[in-house]
Amino acid sequence: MKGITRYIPAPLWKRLLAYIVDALIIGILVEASFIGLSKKAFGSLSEKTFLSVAIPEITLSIIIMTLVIAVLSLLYWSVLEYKLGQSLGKMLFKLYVVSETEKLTFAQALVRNIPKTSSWLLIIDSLALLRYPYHKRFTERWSQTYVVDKTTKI
Amino acid sequence: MVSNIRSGQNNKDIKQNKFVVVVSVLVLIWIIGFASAKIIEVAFGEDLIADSIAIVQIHGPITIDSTNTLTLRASSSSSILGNIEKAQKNKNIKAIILDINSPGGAVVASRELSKVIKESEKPVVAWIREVGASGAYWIASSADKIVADSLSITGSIGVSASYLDLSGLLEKYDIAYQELTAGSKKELGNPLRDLTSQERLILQKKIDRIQEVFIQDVVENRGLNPQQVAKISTGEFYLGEEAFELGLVDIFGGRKEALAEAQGLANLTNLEVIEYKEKMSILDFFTKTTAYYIGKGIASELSSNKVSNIEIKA
Repeated sequence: MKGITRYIPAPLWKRLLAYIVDALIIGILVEASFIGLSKKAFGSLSEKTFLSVAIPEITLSIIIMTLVIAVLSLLYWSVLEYKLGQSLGKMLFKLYVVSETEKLTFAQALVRNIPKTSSWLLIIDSLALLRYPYHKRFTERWSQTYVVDKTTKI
Repeated sequence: MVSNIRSGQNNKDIKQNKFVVVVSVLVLIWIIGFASAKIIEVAFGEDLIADSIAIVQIHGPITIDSTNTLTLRASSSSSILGNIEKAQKNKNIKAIILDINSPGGAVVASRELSKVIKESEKPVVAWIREVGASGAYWIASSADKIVADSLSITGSIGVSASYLDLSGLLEKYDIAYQELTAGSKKELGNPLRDLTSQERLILQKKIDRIQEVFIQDVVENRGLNPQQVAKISTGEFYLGEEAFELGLVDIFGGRKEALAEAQGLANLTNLEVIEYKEKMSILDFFTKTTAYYIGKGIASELSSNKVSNIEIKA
């Protein structure tokens, strides 16, 4: 067994804290640019109008803003995990994303992070954490990746 | 010892690389986010407003097209109409305020603005500042309410026609002017000869007709007594306080009062304001200040192919 180091799957509380840190970073970085604009856009919708019946230009601008924020969030997680194996939040808690097959590819990083673009998707995706072993979300199963804690070795 | 140093160096390199990757990703995301926000703002900026009151500026003499004017402060009806239309189309704009500081100007320009305002489905408040006289008052009268300072200059319901008579100048320098025309009245308003008494009568009749329409519009717009309006329509200007007594103005005040009135008419709880001003590009600036003199010149103005050199203003 000499020369082989095994890590245990990261505990959920650490993953949650790492996610909160990352979400805060993205919030500051991306959403700060959009805060004035989104305030204007949502302010434009009067109390009586709902998104589906609102003015098309405003609805469209809100959709575009949401998409841009989602794509940038996806880029943040995917690029950092692909290049370094960890995002800033994971760095803080010494968590790493590893592939079950070979070296982590960009496609794997992308697939496992898609649900992070929407809180609803993430909640649905995280339901799997309760069911599957090794604390894996659905998209982590599909991308054949998991998160390990390098502070705890077996 | 050597391997320890190498391993330390490797760790340092890895950390440095990590730092570069993290900073690059963060900077890239920030740049893309910032640029996207700016692009969206430019593309949708005018639609992204809460329930608001639009302030449309009418400053300086009123003309049909601002490119024909010498002064920079002229308000072209085309540009004002464009701004009013924008405000009308934007569903988030609930009321319009006309910020008027104008002595009047071209008759048709004033009348077409007056018509558009009268037909507006959104409440319109005219806010007269220093001057809102003649054609500018014509426009203001079509608003739902008129706000003016007690010392604002307003009214001046009258029409004037003027032209430059250069016949004496030609005589002094012994210059003869020849023009062949078909139609006995074709030369009416030619600045190089005096008006005949018959021509004067023709002109006066047309001015009287314009005055009649002006008075009729003010009567209709303000709901005033026709005889009373005819009596005060001498071309005299009135101070805000006099105009108030005569029923030409509704409220004393300035921007604050105009906004409050518009807010009330539109039943708005919040007070968001968007201003529509006449936009002037650098190109406009140069064409307005220099091209007029260079391109046209005084000589070409005199020999231009106009119907008449008479300028009729309200």
